[in-house]
This record gives sequence, C-alpha cells and structure tokens, in this order.
Amino acid sequence: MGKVLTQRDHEKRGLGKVSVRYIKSLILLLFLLLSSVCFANGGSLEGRVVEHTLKNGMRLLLLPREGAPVVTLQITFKVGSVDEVEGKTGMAHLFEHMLFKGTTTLGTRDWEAERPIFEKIEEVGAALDSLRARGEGESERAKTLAAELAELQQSERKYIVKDEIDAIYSRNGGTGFNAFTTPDMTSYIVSLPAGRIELWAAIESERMREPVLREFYVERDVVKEERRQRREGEPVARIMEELKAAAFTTHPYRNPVIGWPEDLDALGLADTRTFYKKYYGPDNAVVTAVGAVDPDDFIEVCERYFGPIPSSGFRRYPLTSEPKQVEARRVEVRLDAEPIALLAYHKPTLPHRDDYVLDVVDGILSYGRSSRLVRSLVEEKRILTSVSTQNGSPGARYDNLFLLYAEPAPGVTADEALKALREELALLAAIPPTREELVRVVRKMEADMVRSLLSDGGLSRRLSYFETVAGDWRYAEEHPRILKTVTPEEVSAVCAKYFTPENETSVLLIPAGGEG
Amino acid sequence: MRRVANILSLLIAALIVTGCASGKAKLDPRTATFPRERFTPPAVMEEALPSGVKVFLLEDHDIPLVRLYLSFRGGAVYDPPGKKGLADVLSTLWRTGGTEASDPAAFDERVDELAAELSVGLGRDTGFASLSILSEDLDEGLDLLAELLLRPRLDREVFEWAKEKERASVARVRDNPSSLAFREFRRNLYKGHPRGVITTEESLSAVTREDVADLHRRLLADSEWVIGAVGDFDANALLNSLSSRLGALSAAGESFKPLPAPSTPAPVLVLVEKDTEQSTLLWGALAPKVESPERTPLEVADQILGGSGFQSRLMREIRSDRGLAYGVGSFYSPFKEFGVMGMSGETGVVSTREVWALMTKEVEKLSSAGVTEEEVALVKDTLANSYIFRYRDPASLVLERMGSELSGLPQDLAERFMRELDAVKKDDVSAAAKNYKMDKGIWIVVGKAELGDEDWTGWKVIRVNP
Repeated sequence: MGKVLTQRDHEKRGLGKVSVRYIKSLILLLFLLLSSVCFANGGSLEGRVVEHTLKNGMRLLLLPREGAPVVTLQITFKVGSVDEVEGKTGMAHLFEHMLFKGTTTLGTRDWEAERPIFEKIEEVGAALDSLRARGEGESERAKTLAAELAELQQSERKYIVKDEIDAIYSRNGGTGFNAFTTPDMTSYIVSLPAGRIELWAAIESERMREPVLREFYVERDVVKEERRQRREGEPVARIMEELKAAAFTTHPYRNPVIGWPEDLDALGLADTRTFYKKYYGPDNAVVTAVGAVDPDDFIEVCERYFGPIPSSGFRRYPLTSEPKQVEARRVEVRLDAEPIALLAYHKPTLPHRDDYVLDVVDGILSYGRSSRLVRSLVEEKRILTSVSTQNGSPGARYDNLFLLYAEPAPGVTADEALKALREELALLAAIPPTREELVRVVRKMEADMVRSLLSDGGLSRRLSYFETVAGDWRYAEEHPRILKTVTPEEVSAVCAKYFTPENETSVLLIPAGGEG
Repeated sequence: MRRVANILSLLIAALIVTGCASGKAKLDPRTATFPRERFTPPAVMEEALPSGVKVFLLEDHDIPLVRLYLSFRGGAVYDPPGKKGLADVLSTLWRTGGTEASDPAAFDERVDELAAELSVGLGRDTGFASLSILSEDLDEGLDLLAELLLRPRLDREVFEWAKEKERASVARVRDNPSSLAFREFRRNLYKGHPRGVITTEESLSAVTREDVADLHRRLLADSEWVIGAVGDFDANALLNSLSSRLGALSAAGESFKPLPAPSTPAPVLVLVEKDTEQSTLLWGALAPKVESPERTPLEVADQILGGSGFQSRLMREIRSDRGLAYGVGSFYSPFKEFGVMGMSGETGVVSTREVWALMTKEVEKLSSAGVTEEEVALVKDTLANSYIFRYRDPASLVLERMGSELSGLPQDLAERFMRELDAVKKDDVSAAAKNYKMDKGIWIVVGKAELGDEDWTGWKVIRVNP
C-alpha cells in the first residue's frame, strides 16, 4: 500500500505554490480511496496517516477512521523529567498540572482585576519559600507570610472560575480529558464528539499561548499528595525510585518524574514560567487526531488557531551521559510488605540494533504463558507467583535499562528470586533460543499491533510516542519487520553482552523483620 | 537593509491576509454551542444456540480480528460456608491446569503459537471467558476455547500450586491500601451475607480438588451462559461453529440463582491499622437498585457529589481548593437486587481528620440542601453529549446486551436511562439525594493505629489488624 501524499511532501517537491484547495482535494481523494480498504495489512498504519507541519514547526498526524463520530486528540511536547535541571526535579509534571488552571480568558471572571492579587501571591509565596528553605518555616515572619498568602488566595478565589476548561469539555461530551508526564514527554489528551474539533483548537491554542499559573501553591500541595499516594499505594513505586537512583548516578533518568520532595518544596512560579517558555513552543509539539476527522478541515482549523503562535526556536543540548557501570549495585529496602525483587541492566536505546534484539529477549522471557520465566519460574519451579520484564525503562530518548520484576512465592526470599532470574538470563546467553520461540514471539507482537487498532486512544499514543521519542511515527511500522531478522545466535550474544554482573543493579524489598 | 524591511513588511502583510483569508472568526469556548452528534449504531444480532444459550453478534470487518465473550452465572458469592476461595482457586486452575488433550505447557504453547488471548475466570456473581484471535485462525481458536471450557484437566498437581498463588494474592492485599479498604468495606457492609465473607488461610485450606471439579461441572451443566461475538466473521458460520463446539453449555440452570439483597448494617467505623504515611478513607452504604425510580436522579446526585472528577463537589472542596488530596471521589453502582453508593479518598496522616470532616459535611449538605439547577444541567449535558462514545468500540454494545441478559434486566437499559436523564429535574435529584444518610453507612479508615486513640469521629470504632 502506497504512502499518502501529504502537503508536506508537496512542499518538499516544490509544489508549494499549487493552490491549497487543489492539494486538499487530492488528499481527500486519496483518503477516500484508501478508506474503503480495511486494515488487512496486519496492524500497519502505512498509507493511512496524513501528515502536515505548520510553519511554526508544529507537527500534525491524522488518522481518519470510520465508525461513531468521535475523535481522540492529543498534544505531546518533547519535554519530560529528563529535561529538568538538578534541584528542580518535578517541574515537568507540576507544570502539566498547572496547565489545567486556565488562561487569561479561561478560568477567570476578570483577569485584569485578578492579576494584581495573582502577582502579590507570587511575591508572598516566593518570600515564604525562601524562609522555609533557610529552615525558618516556623518563624514569626513565616507565620505572618503564610497567613497573608492564605488571605490573598481567598481573595483571588472570587475571580476564579474553577476548572473551567474541564467544565467546558465536560458539558460538550468530552471524555478522558487528562494529561501525563513521563521521563521523555508530556501529553495532553481529550476525546470529543467529532463536531467539536474547533472547540479543542480554541482551548488548546490558548493554553499553549497564554496559560495563567493560578492556584500554584495549592496545586504544589496536590502534587505532594499524589507522590504520597503513589508511594504508599504500591510498594513497587517506592522500590522503582530506589532502582533508578542506584542504576543511574549521573543521567537524569535517576530522578522520579514526580520530583524529589525537597525540590518540590522549592519549585517557584518564576522557575515554572521559564520552563514553560523554553519547552512549550509549537516547534516542540506533535498533535495527533484519531477517529472521525476530516484532514482538510483539521489542517485548516490548526492553521488558524495554532499557526499564529511563534516558534520558540530553542535548541536542545546533549545531556551528560551515564558513565559505564563497573560493578554490581545492590539496594535493600525493608518495608512492612511482601517481598519483591527487581533486576536491571544498562543497554542502548533505539534505534540501536541491540534494542530490537532485546525486544525479542523481552518477549522470550515474559510474553505469554509459554514464555520462559512464566513457564520455568512460575509454573515449573514455583519460585515466583508473578514475573514481568521491560525493555526500555524508564524512558527511551536516552540509553536505558532492561528491567525484570518478580514477586517471590510464599516462603521464597527476594534473594532466591534474584538468583533464579539470573540463572534464566545466563541460560539464554549460553544457549540460543529455538527458531520456534522466536517465531512465536514475533507473531504475538504482530497480533498486538492488530489489536492496537481497536482503540483510538491506543493509536493516538502510538503515533505521538514514536514521533516524539524516535523522531518518526513510522518507527513502529518498521519494528516488526526488523524483529523478524533477529537470529537465535544474536539473542544469546546480546544477552551475554548486557546481562553481566558488573552491569547489574538489583533492588530487594525485604519484609521488615525478615531475611533477604 | 531597506530591502529586508520591505520583504518583512510584505511578509507581514501576507500573514495578515492569510490570517483573514478564511474570514472565520475564532470561537469563544465558553459560549460556543454545537449540535448533538447523531449516529445510528450497527444493530446487534440476537440469536440462540439449539441449547437455548443466547448469542449476541456484531460483524465488523474493519480489523482482521474476532473477539468472543462468554459470561455465566456463578462466582465467589456462591462459595460454600467455610470454603471461601473456591471460585478463585478454580479461576486460576481452569486457565493454568491444561486440558484433557494437552498438559499445561503444551496447551499454553498452542495458545501462544496462534497469538491468541484466552482467559477464563470467576468474579463475584458471574464468570467470564474470552478469546481474541486473528480471524484467519478463528477455527483453531474456537477449538482451544471449547477444549478449555468443557474439558479442562484441572490438574491435581497444579491444584496445590493454584491454592498457593491464591494464598500469596490474599497476603499481597495488605500492601495496597485501596484494595485493603474495599475488602474490609465488603466484609462489614455485607455482614452476615455471603457477600461479606472473605478468604482466609483456613477457608482456603479447606478447598479440595474435588470441590473445584464439582464446581466446574455445575457451572457447565447447571448455570446460565450467554455468548457475544464482535469482529471479522460470518455470523451464520460462527453460530454453527458455536453450536457444534459449545452445545453442552447450559442455558437456564438452577444452581446460581441471584442471592437476596443484603440488609442495612449497623453504623460503624472500622480502623484498619497500617503503618503508612497516608490514610485511606472510605464511606459507603446500600443504595437503590437499577430498576428503582430513584436510580437515574441518584446517578446525577453521585456525579455532583464526586463522580464527575473536577466538576464534583468533593474534588473541588478537598483537592482543588485545599490541596489535601490527589484522588477523591464518589461511586454509585446499581445492580438488579440492590445498589451500593459511597465515596473515598486518600490524604496525609495529619490531614485525616480534616478530610474526614469535609467528606462528611459534603454528604450531609447534599442530603439536606440538595443540588442546584446549574449542577444538574452540567451533568445532563455531560452524559448526553458523551453518550456517543459507547458506540466507539462495537464490543461495548454486545457486552451491554450480555450483561442485561444475564442479570435479567431489560435489553434497552441504556436507552431508558438516557430518556429518564432527559426528563430529570433538579427537585428529583434533590429528593434522591436524601438517600445519602451517613448513619446508614459504614466508614473504613486504613491508616496509623494512633488515629483510633481518641474518639474524634463520634462513631463506634472497631480496630482491625489485617
């Protein structure tokens, strides 16, 4: 199936002067021809995605689909916790929260009247933070400032229209209005009845252009609550934090997305504004629209609303890379909880050939009930009750980790679980897997690509993720084809290369009062 | 330089012209209105196998995949006294214990070779099995499914391991405050009713392999099964395949009839002691059932209290205004025989009392002062405009029909709800909100033992050390 010619392609070929209307009808014609073809070609999206780039650099990826008149819309900025500077961890995620607080026209009854109070809040809040940073949080001066801040917040409230963006989307039938921050990226999502795309463009372009960081100090408290809820809710959240901090000594993948608590306390409005200006330009954004979307109309609407936003023109500088690990690292966490074992190895990220091979390893080890770790360690030796692996943690923009997670069976210690995991890795490094194992894994991954077509949200995430992290959404299309070229010998060689004692970090959750 | 300036001004002029070229003004998100989307959903076919088992089918050839669903009556609430955990052990053993024809490892390999997803398990009142398979492999997939459902090996040797896994999962509930809170909620809300019995070490030990095999036999022969299928198949061919392979499933068995509704418990606050930096708060009570005239207005009241995220009162008071919680909200789940409603949230240890008091205050306020016109209008718009999403994945239409069939509820439940919603008035919602009575419900607090040291709640406090 051929690739749809997009406006961008026309521009590249010097056809930029062809009337817009003509190009649009061409796109529409091609789209109509293609839309009668079903997704017979496995899970491939090749030839179905319409691409367009606005003059300010904003990328648009559209995937029109038949069915109910709804559309999933996602804006992704290539900024995550990995881009934060030391001492200001948690910024990307806190800013994500702040973007829900409105703009100069949304979320306020009268911005000009609200503004002086807003500015005073920033002044008092910053003064209070600096007292607290000096350990004078309990001083008389701090108490006075805290009372003043509370009073200002109370008086700002009469101008605030609470969560107005959420209210507008809600009454228009929006669902799944949310956002997420990862080490690599930050994404804003909503699904709407199809006729409301212009509403989305109006709101999102305004959020992008002139957000107002109102209710900042209350929201910072909400984030602290979120951190606590995540840590206390699942012991694995706490030990994952330990794992990253141990495995990475220098690279910012060591920091939790939600931030270190001391950093969160010190994040101020000025820092947040600087962060926004740097990373939230249209040239750092990818928009995806999946569902009942007309490419013609969508591009026109985006030109009109997002087109006037100037590029930020910022340049990304290389980060300090993680020094090569030279000896095994081990962390023990004692908690009143059931044991868990985590094991991690450094490895290169995409598009390195070894990353593809490790995707196959990931499948051989834990994908499906006939995978090695499930079959051997859960069902035969009965050492674990649950096991999983992940190639590419915590992110994929930079070199990352191959991760193994295990819940030991009753009576089995976390140390015994680790030993069993290492033995399986050594076995795979010593003896190449069978051809049948490889075929099974690749077939399962292909079937998953087909299943992913069931969900607009899933497709939208797939497009925006690979466009952001790999620089091209087609990475996911090529992926199964490359996996098929991986040989059994290559699998063993790659396991032998990375699964070594000196490249290992382990974290054990040991029940308080128990033994490792 | 001058030349540059000229070019610039030309460019600017061009930009302005382009900007106006469309002649369209930008819309104001606050005032813009749009027509409601209309969509005629594909019709779900309703058929029956010769055995009487109902089948709901929806062909959809866009994606080369078939999804098959089976639902049946039976589950944990029917576990015999003293053997709580039986249904859960069967769930694990059924899928992992192989079939008469294949040992566990060989069976799993056959499933994975087809890249199929195959599951079976029991919930509280009903069980569920599913198969997701590429359409080119449909026949082989159906063979696997039928083999697993009708002729599982329930391997004796794997049986002990299945029990051990269940023991481990019971132990790990302690590590998740939210799961722990809801477990204690069910135990206390349904006290004296089979729904309130929880699995213990002793009850699990009492389960024998014969119990499991017997339960499996009764589920096949004396339960009620319904089937659903969505995807790339030919309906007639599929019906024939299902008749020949799954003809043995019962359509109208007697073994798993609905249980009577539970009765209102005595008010109590259960403090589940856990050494943690946060408290989990959960209040809930019995509520009107699905076919009650109060159901629809109460759904609206629940949305206003805490069911609609940021637009709800709990979220606004506790999170948005005070920063005291990340997650806080309410729920209302109406079933055929009864309903449950409640609210929950997490907060730091020091703010536990404040959040507890705010939650209490919001429920009391809702019950006594009712709701406003604006709140009701927002909920009605939200639900009516988002209704279209239920058609996005056609599987939801099939699953809805299966659910209604198995619970003995009307097949047009969703449409009825929308009609009632359209007619609901502020006063109906305020009247239904009187169902929120704090002392008709129970509190669960998971958190530090010290929280129970003094009587700050005014409730009768029971301490539990899980």
